[in-house]
Amino acid sequence: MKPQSMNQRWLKFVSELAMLAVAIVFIVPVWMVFVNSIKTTAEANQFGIWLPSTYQLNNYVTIFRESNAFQAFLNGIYIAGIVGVMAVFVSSMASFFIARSNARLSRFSYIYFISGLIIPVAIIPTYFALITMHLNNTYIGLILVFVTYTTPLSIFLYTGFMKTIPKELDEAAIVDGCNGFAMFFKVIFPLLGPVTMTVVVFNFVGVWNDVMTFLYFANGDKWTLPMTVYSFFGKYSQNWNLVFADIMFTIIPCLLLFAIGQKYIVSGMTAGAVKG
Amino acid sequence: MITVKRQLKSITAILLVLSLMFLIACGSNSANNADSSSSPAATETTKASETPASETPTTAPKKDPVTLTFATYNEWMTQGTGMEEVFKLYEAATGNKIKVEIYPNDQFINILKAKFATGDVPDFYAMNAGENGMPYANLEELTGPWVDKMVEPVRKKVTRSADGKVVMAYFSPLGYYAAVYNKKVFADAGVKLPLMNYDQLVEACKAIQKLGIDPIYLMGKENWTAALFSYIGGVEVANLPGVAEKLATNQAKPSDIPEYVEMANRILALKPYFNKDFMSVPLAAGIGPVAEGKAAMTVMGDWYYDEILKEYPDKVGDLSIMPITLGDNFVSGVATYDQHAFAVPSAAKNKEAAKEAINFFMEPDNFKVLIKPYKGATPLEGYDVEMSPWQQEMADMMKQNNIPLTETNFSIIFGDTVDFGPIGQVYQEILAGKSSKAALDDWYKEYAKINKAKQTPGF
Amino acid sequence: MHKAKIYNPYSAYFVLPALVLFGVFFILPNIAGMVLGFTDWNSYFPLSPRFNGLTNFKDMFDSSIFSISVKNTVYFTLVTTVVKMVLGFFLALLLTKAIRYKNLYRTIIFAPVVINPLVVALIFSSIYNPTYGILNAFLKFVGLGFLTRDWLVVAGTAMNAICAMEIWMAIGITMVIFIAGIHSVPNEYYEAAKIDGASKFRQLVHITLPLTMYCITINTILCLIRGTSVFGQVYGLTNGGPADATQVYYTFIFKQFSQNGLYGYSAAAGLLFTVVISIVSFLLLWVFRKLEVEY
Repeated sequence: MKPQSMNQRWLKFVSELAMLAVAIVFIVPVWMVFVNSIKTTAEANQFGIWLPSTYQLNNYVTIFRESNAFQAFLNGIYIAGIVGVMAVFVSSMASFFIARSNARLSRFSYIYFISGLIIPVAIIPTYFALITMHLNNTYIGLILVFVTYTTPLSIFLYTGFMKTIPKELDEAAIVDGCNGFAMFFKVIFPLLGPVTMTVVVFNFVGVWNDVMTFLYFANGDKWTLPMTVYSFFGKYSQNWNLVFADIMFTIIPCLLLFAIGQKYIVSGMTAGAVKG
Repeated sequence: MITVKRQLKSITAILLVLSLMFLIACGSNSANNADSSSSPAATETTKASETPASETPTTAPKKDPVTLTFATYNEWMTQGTGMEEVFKLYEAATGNKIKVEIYPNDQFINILKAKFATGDVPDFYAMNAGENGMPYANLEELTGPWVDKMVEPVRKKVTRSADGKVVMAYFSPLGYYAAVYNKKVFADAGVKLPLMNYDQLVEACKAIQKLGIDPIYLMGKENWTAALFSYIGGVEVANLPGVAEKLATNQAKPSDIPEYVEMANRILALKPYFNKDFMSVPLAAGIGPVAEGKAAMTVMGDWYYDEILKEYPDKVGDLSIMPITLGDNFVSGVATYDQHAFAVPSAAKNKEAAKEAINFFMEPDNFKVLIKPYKGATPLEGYDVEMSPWQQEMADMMKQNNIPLTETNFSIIFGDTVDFGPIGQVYQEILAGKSSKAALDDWYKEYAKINKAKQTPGF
Repeated sequence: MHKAKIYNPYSAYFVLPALVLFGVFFILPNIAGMVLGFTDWNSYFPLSPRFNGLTNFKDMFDSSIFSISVKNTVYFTLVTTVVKMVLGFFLALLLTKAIRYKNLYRTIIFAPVVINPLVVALIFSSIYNPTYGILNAFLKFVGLGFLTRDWLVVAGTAMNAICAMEIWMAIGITMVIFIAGIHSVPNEYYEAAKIDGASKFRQLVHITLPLTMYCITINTILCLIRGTSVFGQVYGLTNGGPADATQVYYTFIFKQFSQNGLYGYSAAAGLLFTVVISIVSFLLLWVFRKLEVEY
């Protein structure tokens, strides 16, 4: 092997240094939030990155008392969970039809749904629709809206993946006497595992981190955790230690989910790319 | 084959319907559990559970406890306000419950209007008094022994102009919009109070600045704090002949009226006397600097008495409130007649119970609890409402100097029918560098559009 | 006993729920928006909108706040797209070379993507705090104290501060897609080029770039979508302030909706947005398709 030239070694060194610097830019803010979340108010309001002089772990207790954190947490799990399940079923079934059927409806449906990726959401008229259906500020209203918004991407992912599942599988199942929904759920659906995971994770993060939908269509008692951080901040904007504690509490589920579901998120994002 | 397919279809259809029903059930269940409700932990004993003597046809006391829904601003239900406490008293006395729904400050009115439209109204709500904010249509007439006790300006404010009926129950002590000022700082600067015109105000600012103290403390991050200058100090302009009429009927734009533009310019001219960081100070930061003598005054209102009492108890005597003006020949004390009031929508499910609840709150003893922690003159004659030392001092100052009591510049100009739109941004924009005319024009465009939508006569 | 295969196992019932749901909550509202935008629908008369023709659109173009929000949205989109693409590509290059801890770095840089924009905005409002925030503290620390200022209050810097925050938050997406693209370029090309004596730079321009063109397409579209539909970031950091200097399109819509109660007006703005964005997107897609084919 050719020994690396001075140039190459130097380049490598600079690259590593650059990456390190970049990583620091990304870590420092989160570190600051963490370290200030366990300080006293006076100390935290200085946003320092040094360690606390006294450890105030009861900040976390306080935020539970003062903010709607627990309720919001449950809201998030509930809404995101149901949305995830519904989205998986609705999208995978629709994609099955689109990927397999040659009917005109199938081609129409694909364009119909993919247009949702490009055309923006009409927020105000949706508000009107929800009001007239008496679904404003209801869990079911929120869930239906979220599932709708996630449909284009989910169908895109599912359809692409399903095309790689050989049609022979369906035909074998039909020959064996299994067809319709039974065939889909017994034979095809289990094979969609990776995409299902991606859709679930995407949806969960999408609901958890949504801002506009909650602001327009729900009142505070149905908000998810990150949204309540914002209203908590409104009341306690001079107590940054509490605000940061609330933020930590919000970020941790996201980061945890990210750590676990990372490969699904990344693969989902690149699925479209690699397919081209 | 065909039969199997049909079976599958129907099974799927049933499944879908079932899951939809399940979702709806879950949804409404959780919705009920998730809504905040005040717990009936009554630790105080109420003064006899007598049913309020009212002039409404007495409905037989309901045997089954009713849950009333109540809606109001987020800010009005923060800890320590009397509403929470008096609700608990009510729940203990009657066995009814009150479910509180709070909404973000800048959206509450619109949310409430939407609720009225769909019939999904709360049983009663608390809002600023005045037909200007939330229209008085579709509200129940309120009757009770307290109605006749209202002082005249209050009664006018809560009466529906269309038919002369009283539709809101006012429960704020009457106070003042005024400048909260540090007596010591003004004394040290040798300023004679009260400041009877704009020139005296500017002179005072200069004298105070020489001491190295910020003359005016402005919490400029909020978009309404700068507007208070015109609210309070612009009464002279509002009273100029024809101004109010022309603006209210859309015969003129604010930028067409030279005195109005001049008033805006005078606010801008005060900018050198503000705290340097005024653009980034939020309301939540409080007026500590005024209490500590680092700033001379802030143009706000008497409600800060309670906050100063809590945070700077030893300094509360150093501070007081006083009238200020931007005018040449006129200064007035500006009263707050547009504060908290209850109302009952006509479409409310439990409107009789809601009306009884309001009568309960308006009884003298409960009223005292309700208005906590605010102080001021009583809106209802004969009621025992405390005035704070600050308000007393201001009332004395006004009497000694023949300073009249007026409403705000906006009330005078826009009355109760014209929506004055996003007034706050005008002065914030001027302070940020926009020309007065341009800022006033932009404001005009916005409020004209809103009034056109509202179908206000003249627009 | 089985019937002949005329029977189609792919019944339309599969796609029915999606069709209905999407139709009711997405297609219908968009169509309704085409009507509502021409009415004076407002919170005073929520159930009786009246036609007012082009008044809403006239008022929009007349309003200085609207033009500010359009300007800001365009500026924000352009700046963040360009920076995210260039920096993202550069970072992706770094992370596909022989650097240690590649996966760790990738995770760190991508992590902010999963944090709620409002929360990121709160964090950054503390970073940008003029007195204590770590940005000004850092500048002072490295001797650049003269650069410190009140980032969010001065109109000029406020928009850039928001752009910086968005870049921090979302560059991970761009980078990750580029990484996938770079990985997909077969090594043989590079080796062939090396044999031909091509420098690293030439390899980059003539091999990497063209073969990752589709990544550039996807990333551009993603960045544009994120840029034009920005809301939470601005709402949380400045709420359009100070004095409407940092309004963007969606905060303008929200303000007309929630503060002024002018539903028809905000629907009109939404309609305009939908039309413009749809046209621009389809145009871009067409352009990129042609570019890809050429390569």
